[in-house]
Parts: sequence; C-alpha cells; structure tokens
Amino acid sequence: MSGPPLLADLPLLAGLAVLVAVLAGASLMIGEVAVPMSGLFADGNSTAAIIMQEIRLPRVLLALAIGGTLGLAGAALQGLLRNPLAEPGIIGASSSAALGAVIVLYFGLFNLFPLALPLAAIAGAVIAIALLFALAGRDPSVLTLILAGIALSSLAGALISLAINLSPDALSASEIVFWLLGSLKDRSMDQFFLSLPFMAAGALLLLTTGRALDALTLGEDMASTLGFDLKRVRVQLIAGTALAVGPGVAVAGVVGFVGLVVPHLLRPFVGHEPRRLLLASTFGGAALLLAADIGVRLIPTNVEMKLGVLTALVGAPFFLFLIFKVRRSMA
Amino acid sequence: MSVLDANGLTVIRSGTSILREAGLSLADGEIVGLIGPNGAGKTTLLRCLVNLINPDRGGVRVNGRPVATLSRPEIAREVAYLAQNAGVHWPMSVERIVGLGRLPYSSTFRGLGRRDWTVIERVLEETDIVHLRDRQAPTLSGGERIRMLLASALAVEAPILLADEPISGLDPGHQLQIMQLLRDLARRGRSVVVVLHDLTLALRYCDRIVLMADGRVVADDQAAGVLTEERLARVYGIEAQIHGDGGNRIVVPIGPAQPPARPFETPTGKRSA
Repeated sequence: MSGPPLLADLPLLAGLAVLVAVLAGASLMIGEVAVPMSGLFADGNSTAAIIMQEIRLPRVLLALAIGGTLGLAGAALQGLLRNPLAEPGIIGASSSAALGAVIVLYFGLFNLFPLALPLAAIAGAVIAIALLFALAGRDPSVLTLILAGIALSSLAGALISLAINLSPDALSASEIVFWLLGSLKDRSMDQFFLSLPFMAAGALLLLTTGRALDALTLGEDMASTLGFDLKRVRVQLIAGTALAVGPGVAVAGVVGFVGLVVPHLLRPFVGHEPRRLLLASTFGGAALLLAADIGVRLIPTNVEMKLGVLTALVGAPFFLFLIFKVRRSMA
Repeated sequence: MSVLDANGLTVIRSGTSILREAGLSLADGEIVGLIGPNGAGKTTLLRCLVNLINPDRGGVRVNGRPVATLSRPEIAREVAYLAQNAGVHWPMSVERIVGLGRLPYSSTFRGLGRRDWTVIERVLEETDIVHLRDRQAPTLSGGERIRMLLASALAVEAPILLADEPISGLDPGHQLQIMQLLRDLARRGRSVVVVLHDLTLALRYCDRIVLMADGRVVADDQAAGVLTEERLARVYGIEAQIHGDGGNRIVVPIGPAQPPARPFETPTGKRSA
C-alpha cells in the first residue's frame, strides 16, 4: 500500500520480466536451422555466431524495444486522452511516421544520411499527434478521437499511396509496400543502435509523466489545481510518443494495436492507475511483440507472414470488442 | 490577515462579460458562502482564484503574491479546489482517488508514504466514505462521488479550500455533515470558499456571504446582512420569507417575486439582465 510505486507492482513486473526473458530465449532458438544458444557468445565467423549475432539477436532486441515503446506509448496516450481506445496506430501517429520514412526512402535521402530515416519518422509522428490533440485533445469522447485518427491515418495513407503510385519502378514500389506491412526480419544491429537512443529518450519522457496522468483521472481542471502544468505535460507526451514510436516505425514498418491491447489487458492488475500502468505496459508490450514475432515464424505459410499483418489480424477484432465495451459503459 | 485577495476581476468570453469587476477577499479561518443565481459567475470567479482562468482585467493574490506569478505546484500547496461535476475517468478504487489529493507532495519515484496514508484515513472518515474505500469510483452514487472528490480536495491539506457546489445532490444528513466539516476546517484555521444554492445552510454555516448576480458581487457581508427578502426578490426573482434568528434562521422560498423582478440594476445604472 505504501512506499515507492514500483514496490506494489514488483510481483507483476517480475512476472512480466520472466515472460519477456522466456520469449526472448524462444525467439533466439526459432529459425530455419537449429543453432545452439552458445552461438550468441561465440567468436568469429562460425555459422552459429553469424546467425545468432547478426540475424536473430537484432530481431529479438528490436522486438523488445519496439514492443516496449508501443505498449508504453499506448498507456501514456490513453492516460493523456482519458480514453482506452487511444493508441499510436489508431490515432494516426504510426502511419504519419511511416509517411515521414517513405518520403526519406522515396527521395533516397537515406543514402546521404542514415539518421534521416528515424528523424523523418519522428517528425511525421510529432505532426500527427499535435494535430490530433488540436482536433480532439480537450474532449475525451470516443467519437472525436476515432474520427480525428481516421482522418489523419487516411491523409498519411493517401500521401504514401501517392509515393507508391509515382515510384519510378515496380521494385521500389513493392519495397515500400512490404516495408509498410511491418516486419522485424533481416534487420541489423546497426538499425537497433541507430534507433535506441531516440526510443530511450522517448520512453524516459513518457515514464516521467505518470503523476500527471494519475491527476488527469479527475479531469483537466483538477489536474491543474493538483499542481500540474498541463501544457508542459502535453508537450512532453507528444514529444515522448513521437520519439518512442517514430524510430520503431522507421525500422520495422507499421505494427499496430500493441499499444491498444497491452494496456487494456494489464489495467486491472495495476488498479486502473495510469502511472502504474506505464512500466507494466512497457514490459507487456515487449512480451506481446516477441510472441507475435515468434508467431509469424511458426505459422506455416508459404512466405513468412508480416508482423504488422499478424498484430492487425488479432488487434482489429480486439479493437471492435473494445468499442462495444466502451460504448456500453459510456452510454 | 487576508490569505486570498481578488480585485476587479473581469472576464470577457466571445464578447460576453462573464465577470465584471468582481472581487473577493478571504481571511484566515473564515468560511465564505458564494451564492447567486445560475450563470451569475460563481464558478468563473472560483476558477480565476486558482488561476484556471486568466482574467482580462484584475488580479488575484495568494498570501500577498500574484497568483499568475506562482507555479502550478506552488498554487497546489496553497489552494485546494473541488471542481463542480468533476468526473472520474478510470475505475480506480475510492481510496486511490482520494490519494490523488496527495500528488502535490509526491515525486516521480515516490508513492504514498505513511504520512499520506494518515491523511487519507482521516479524510475518508471526515467525509464518511470509509466503507466505500475499496469500491471502484465510477460505481458510486452522485452523493458518494461528491464526498469522495471532496475527500481528495481535503487530502491536499492546503490552507485554502475552494469548493464548487460540494453539497448539491447530497441527502440532508450528508449536507449538514459536509457543511459542519467545512466549518470545523475554518475553526481550525483554514479558509474556505464554498459555492452554495441552499440559502438556509449558507446562513447557518458561513461567516460571510458573497452574493453574485450577472458577473458582479452585489453584496458581501455578514451572512444575515446579505440575505434580505428584498435582495432575494431582486437577485433571484423570488418571494422568500426569512424566519427565526441567530443561527436558526431559515429561508423559505414562496414563489416568483410579486410583482415580477425588475432586471437587476447595476451600480452604474445600466440595465444588464
């Protein structure tokens, strides 16, 4: 009941951490060939070392980082907007980040300057979230939020389609399309290290908004009078979400619904408290994305299923279910 | 000494004056009833006092310092505010919602400590919601919810409490209990402004009454001095009788004022209602 907030959730967080560790181990072991775990620490150019260190390890680390930031961003956005349906994908942040990345890919800026990709994705996400907030931020009703999200996603989608439409050859068009579907396959450690600092900065910004999110439970007036400068909180959350989500989109494409599903599942375990939900959702998001990334490799399809396709197949029905539930409770 | 001082507050929104040169001062250990018809500007005045609204003219001082120069955390530790119709957006437990009142004293890495829980226990008892502590906040009835929100505001332990209609929707027993509680707070040295519609309770429990109409303060005096049958007719447009004396005065509305109330005359002589 008392003491640091972390202490109350220690069993939950420890459980989630174990789950993440088990899934990460499993993810390392799954692949077309059996490779011993020792390959992770092997030196040199043995096949085991290359497969483990250059193919599977980046995949696992990216799943951890991207899943964690998606879960965290979902929990934080839901707290800010006081709406359980908020999520980086649904509010259009992911597709706008993708648009930023597509622009960089399209004009070949990536070759000039590798950081252009994550930076453009971050910029895209910032613009989308700021616009969303201008449209729907002060009104925690479900409808405005969803409508604003649809409008932003459609706009970003239209511009991405334009890029595909105008792309000079079929190959680069299909490249963009497949990248958009979302995948962690064949990513490199460089990509992980390039995006990690941004994601870490974003996560830090989001994690430190917890008290304000708790206060926002009572609405904006009460949160202000409990000592929070809401303008600052909003800027911190918009910047934090964009920094956390943008680089992930730049690396792995659009992976939706993680930020929707994870906070919803974990909320009852943290007494529905926004602050306590943040860290739990970070762990939960990492676990869910690791599991999904194992899923795409285990599901027997001719071509490996894209990660974003799987999360959407599971997430979209979940979203529908949530709308039903929220609508009933708000009616 | 006055802990809160507001002068010449004017708020204009979309061309309409919501507050016109309104002012209020609050002394140590005083409980002030803020009354007036719907739309008189009571909530706007309260929101100005805690710097949720920046007035177009006029200013507010808390302990002598302009409220606009204070940071949000500084204001939070001086002035607790209970908003009218504040909602609860997540199904958190009642005791956790009450615990939100301790946020001004927490930090990112520190949750509720022993001192915080002592305060929470006390305000749960004072507002008579101990038995509800584990309930999910959105399942409470209207009256229970107001008591919970008042408990959160009390948990702030700020020297000044501004409560916007804390007893609307409460049953008579709890109305008396909450008014008694607010008066006890004042007796122990805190300063309270409470927006009320119940004129009898305002007379009985408040040291002073501030009567607002049409964005102005039209009377500010000892409780009995403000509420006269003539004023009630003019401001509320009702015929009312005031019976009894001392602490047992009651206000009984009879019906619409006869003849119908003239529009409220502003001090400058302009008609504004």
